[in-house]
Amino acid sequence: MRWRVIPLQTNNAYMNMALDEAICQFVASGESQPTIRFYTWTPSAVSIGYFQSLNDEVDVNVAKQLGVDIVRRRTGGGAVYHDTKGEITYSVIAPESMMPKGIRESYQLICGWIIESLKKIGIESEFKPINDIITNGKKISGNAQTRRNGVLLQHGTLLYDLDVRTMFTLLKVPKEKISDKMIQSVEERVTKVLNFGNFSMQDVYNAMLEGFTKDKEYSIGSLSSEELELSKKLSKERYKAEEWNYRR
Amino acid sequence: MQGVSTEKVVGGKLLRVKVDFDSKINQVRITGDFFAHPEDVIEKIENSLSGLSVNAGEEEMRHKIENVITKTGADVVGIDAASIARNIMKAVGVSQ
Repeated sequence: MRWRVIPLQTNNAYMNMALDEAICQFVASGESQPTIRFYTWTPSAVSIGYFQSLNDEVDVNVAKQLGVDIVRRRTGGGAVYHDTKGEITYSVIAPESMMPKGIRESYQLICGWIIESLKKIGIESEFKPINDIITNGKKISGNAQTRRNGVLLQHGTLLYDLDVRTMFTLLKVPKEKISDKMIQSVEERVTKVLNFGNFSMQDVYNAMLEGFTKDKEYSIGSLSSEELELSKKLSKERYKAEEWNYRR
Repeated sequence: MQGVSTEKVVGGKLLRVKVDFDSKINQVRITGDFFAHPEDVIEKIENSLSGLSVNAGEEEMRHKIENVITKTGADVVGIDAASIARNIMKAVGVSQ
């Protein structure tokens, strides 16, 4: 089946999550093609996993002070700080019938496209179950998947740059632990594209575009007006709503 | 009374269980960075435990949770029935 690829765009957190859900609905009804989209987050945001407690994970006051949005995802997994200039996020939305049935196998397949992307800029990496990609033993990409109405959604991030200090003021780690020692230890566990060379965001995006479309029939497309309309509605009624974000 | 228990499941994800209870479990809240689809299986598990005696025992709780997962046909990744049951027991202060 032919893929639709939606080029890199930036949205706020609520719209980014709403777009994923809207596209899922249109792929489920057969009105939209399987879709790969790339995006960044403006303003910077924290997304939390579907099953996380917002108050347990995020310092809401700091987020307000820094102008960082907070949104609950439809997918499980952990809290992620999405710095506007620190990462590129992708979403893959396709009928389940196009994907391996097993959770691990489908993670591995799509994560393989990121591994392929990193290879394009000379970075060797590998899949680390359940949902990470590591290079030299350090995490460079986190991914999360859900399946509803016969449609698989996987989204994930590729770390381009990482502001560990900001991340730890936002995510709830006891303040006394944000010592240089701890930051050092995170940097020992997590890495970013910029550690491997002076790549621009555009370089990384071009590599992702190549890596994700390799051996696929695809065309560059855009969102339909119906998808956009539904996204705006979902953004306002679900993803911005306290009822959703504080549901756990 | 309220109790909380948190565990990083070996080879899995972080699981936090919050339990409101007296002699019986009033409400269980299961949170963490695990995956489950369909997602409502977690609410179904939470609901299935309400009203259960805190002395029901870890085995009975694990069975109840396993039954919900099986009936729902859900995929739960990163936590399992045993880790949920174990942490409920810890949250209500009963360790076996």
